[in-house]
Amino acid sequence: MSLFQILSILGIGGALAACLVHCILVARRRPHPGHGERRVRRYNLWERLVHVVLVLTFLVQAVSGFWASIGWDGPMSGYILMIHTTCGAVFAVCVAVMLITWAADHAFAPYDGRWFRRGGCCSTRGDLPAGRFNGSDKVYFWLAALLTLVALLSMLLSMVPVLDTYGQHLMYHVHRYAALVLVITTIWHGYITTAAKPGGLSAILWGRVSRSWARRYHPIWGSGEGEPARAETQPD
Amino acid sequence: MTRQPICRPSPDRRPLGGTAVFTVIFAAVLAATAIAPLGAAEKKVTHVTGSRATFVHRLPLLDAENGAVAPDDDPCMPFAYRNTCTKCHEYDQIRKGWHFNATDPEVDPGRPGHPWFWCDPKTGTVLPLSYRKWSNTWRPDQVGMSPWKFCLNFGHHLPGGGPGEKSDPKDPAAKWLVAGKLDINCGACHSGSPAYNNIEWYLQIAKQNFMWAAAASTDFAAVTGAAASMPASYDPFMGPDDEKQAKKAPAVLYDASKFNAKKEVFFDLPAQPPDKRCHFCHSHVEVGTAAPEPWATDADVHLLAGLTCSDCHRNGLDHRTTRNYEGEPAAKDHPELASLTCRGCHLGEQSAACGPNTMGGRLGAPVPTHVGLPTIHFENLACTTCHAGPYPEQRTRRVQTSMAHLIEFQGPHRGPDALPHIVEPVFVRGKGDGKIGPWRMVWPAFWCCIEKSPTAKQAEKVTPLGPDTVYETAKDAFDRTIEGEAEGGLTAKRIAAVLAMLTEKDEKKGEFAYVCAGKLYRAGADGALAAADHPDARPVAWPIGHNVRPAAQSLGMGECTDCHGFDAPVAFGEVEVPSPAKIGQGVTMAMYEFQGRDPLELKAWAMSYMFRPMFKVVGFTTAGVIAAVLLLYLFLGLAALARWAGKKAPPGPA
Repeated sequence: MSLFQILSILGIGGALAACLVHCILVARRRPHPGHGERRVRRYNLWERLVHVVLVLTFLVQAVSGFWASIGWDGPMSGYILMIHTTCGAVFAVCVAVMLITWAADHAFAPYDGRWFRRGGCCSTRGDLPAGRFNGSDKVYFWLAALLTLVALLSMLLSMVPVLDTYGQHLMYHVHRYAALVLVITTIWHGYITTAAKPGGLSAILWGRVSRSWARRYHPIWGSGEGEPARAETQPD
Repeated sequence: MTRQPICRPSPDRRPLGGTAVFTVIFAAVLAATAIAPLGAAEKKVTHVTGSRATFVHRLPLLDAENGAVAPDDDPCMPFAYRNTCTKCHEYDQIRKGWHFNATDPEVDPGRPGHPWFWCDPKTGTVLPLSYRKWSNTWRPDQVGMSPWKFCLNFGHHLPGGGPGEKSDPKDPAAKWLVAGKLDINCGACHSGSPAYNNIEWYLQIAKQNFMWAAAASTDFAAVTGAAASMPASYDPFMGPDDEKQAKKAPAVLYDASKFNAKKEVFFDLPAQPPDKRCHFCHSHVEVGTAAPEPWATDADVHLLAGLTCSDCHRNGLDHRTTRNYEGEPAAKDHPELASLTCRGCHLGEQSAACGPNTMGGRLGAPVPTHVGLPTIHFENLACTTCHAGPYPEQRTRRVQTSMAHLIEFQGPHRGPDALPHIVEPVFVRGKGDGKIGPWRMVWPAFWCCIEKSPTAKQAEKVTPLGPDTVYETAKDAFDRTIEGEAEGGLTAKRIAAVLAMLTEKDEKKGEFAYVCAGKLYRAGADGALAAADHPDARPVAWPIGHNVRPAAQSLGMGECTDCHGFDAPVAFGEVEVPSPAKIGQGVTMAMYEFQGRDPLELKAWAMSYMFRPMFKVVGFTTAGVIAAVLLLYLFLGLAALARWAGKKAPPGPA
């Protein structure tokens, strides 16, 4: 078993285990608001559409890539490779679109520092300051963008005649490790925005949340303070 | 000098009485007592070999019975390398070498190599034979070929040893006592003399002069007569009984001027075999209407660069010549061999066992950069796929080889349609390493007896029949004119007639079939031939190692679509399935069928290359956008940090 296979199993398994531990020790002890009437629009149609495509292509990428990596520690070939590269292009475009769409909302603000200082994801308190996206979301957003850029460039550079065998090997490993970190962080992101935050999944699927939910998890955005004025995503 | 007969008692010798027996025993004991101290004093010398200088071989000649040979001997015996060279080189070590150990069942056969082909155009037989357990080959004894017959059939390119030393008493046709053994012929590989004649070796074997063949190949001996014309009772060490026999008996005449005063002869025997000796057995030529003239073809790029065959294919005294492919069994004992494969020599072998050769560039090999080539190619393809063999075209080509077609010999056997029909390059996925590489391929054709399998899942057991047996049994069916067929040859009707005759003349009334063009044909219920697939009808194939083309002529130097195009020969090329019979003519198979690949998948992959330029544009544009946004917000963040730091900094002096 190669180092990458071991790290993949440990990394992905560790991320899932961390989510489980967090769920038991932190998430279940947090005060959760009830699911009242969802009248606050959190995501518009465009955002939800792009996010859904992003999630689907990411899943295809992750499953096809790590099926080969963990399964036989080899590069993909045949249909799997064709699916992986085709979805990879769509995924990269979606990341770019998402980046343009949400970059302003993910700009760090002074209250994000307070969010981290008060424990962030590990806090069981219900009064952490957060705008439309909290500190964890913002770190993930920029990290995912960076990792996507690395994975994309490492793949593109191997398709043009500029790198020798050593460079090709290096790019192949850079691509794999960037993807591994992206998958680990995305598992955490998926958990922390849905299972650890009841109502988060329906928010990204249907676009609306309850007022209490908005005030509980994103109090600054929920009260209409401190965020860029965007009418369609402001609380009613 | 007259020598006493060794093998036979003199006719005038009388039976020994009791006194005589006692005298003999007493004399033997005395002799043993006298010789023992001398023998103990003669120490075995262990030579430290390795000097780059070539030893000058001025040797006294010894015959097969270890007797000294001189040009004026009567009868004059052929010298034997076995005894002449053994003083310094242990013959029993040498006979373990790759060129001589095929008959040893303990030897790992390794990846498939060029088998021998027992061909007969009359019966339409192309039977791949090998003493090694290579797939789709038959052991000679499985088809009724004794070592004696094997030597007569394939002695032309045998270097001696192996079956040449397997004198089997069961073979009634064998005349080992008359012909002598076909010992290892050191000169076949090592002779540096331009006058050394490998062809004479075979001409002597054809005359059954096995013991004389090695001497006849040299420039200081000439052999007359033929053991084939001598009776089975003839003893070459006694010489002919009379003048009449003497005219036909094999005899050797030495050039006395080549012997010095010590009765030694100079042998030009470099330790490293000259390439011309290797080429005698390991050459090939393309045939067919589109085949280039030999002068228009190029030699292997390694030879053109100044290397010799033995620079890479090396051996010690054990003569286990390396074959230099990845995973070679010999590498288990000698891991440093990994640095003599294509990959090891050019790219380096990343194992500590290879010492400084871990870094590649061995023997001055250029270290390739393979710019732009994704690494998956190194995992799925052999180096030879892109670099060796003829540049692939839409259809395979036919070649003739030294071992199969005797291309070193002139004569009617050298027609372009001579059997076997070898096609190349066929891109096959190897069973051992799973890599695709260029192979040579031959479809077997033979008559066989079928044994029903006990279960439906198992294929029927097939036992091939030698062409001579088949012809002898069904001569009438082969030779008679078939009604309604003007043309001769193995037509469907003639094959049916032969099958019927084989069944008729068989005591057990078993079932017979004919294999050709990848199918097994048997007589159907209505008398017509019925074709079916059978594992033993599959082709025999072996990888192409040479000739290696220059890097600039590698596959893929043009475009990715050299291999990934809709009609790329590597995947969609036509593989000819030749047949020596009239049936099964014109059959072709697609290259991908030998690679276990899905043609739809290959087409889809080829189609992706149409969109690849657009894909790259979209990819780089997207990467640019992502990078731009990241950089923009990085600068915005840094600016915000600077502002924050400015506010926090203590005010300076007023």
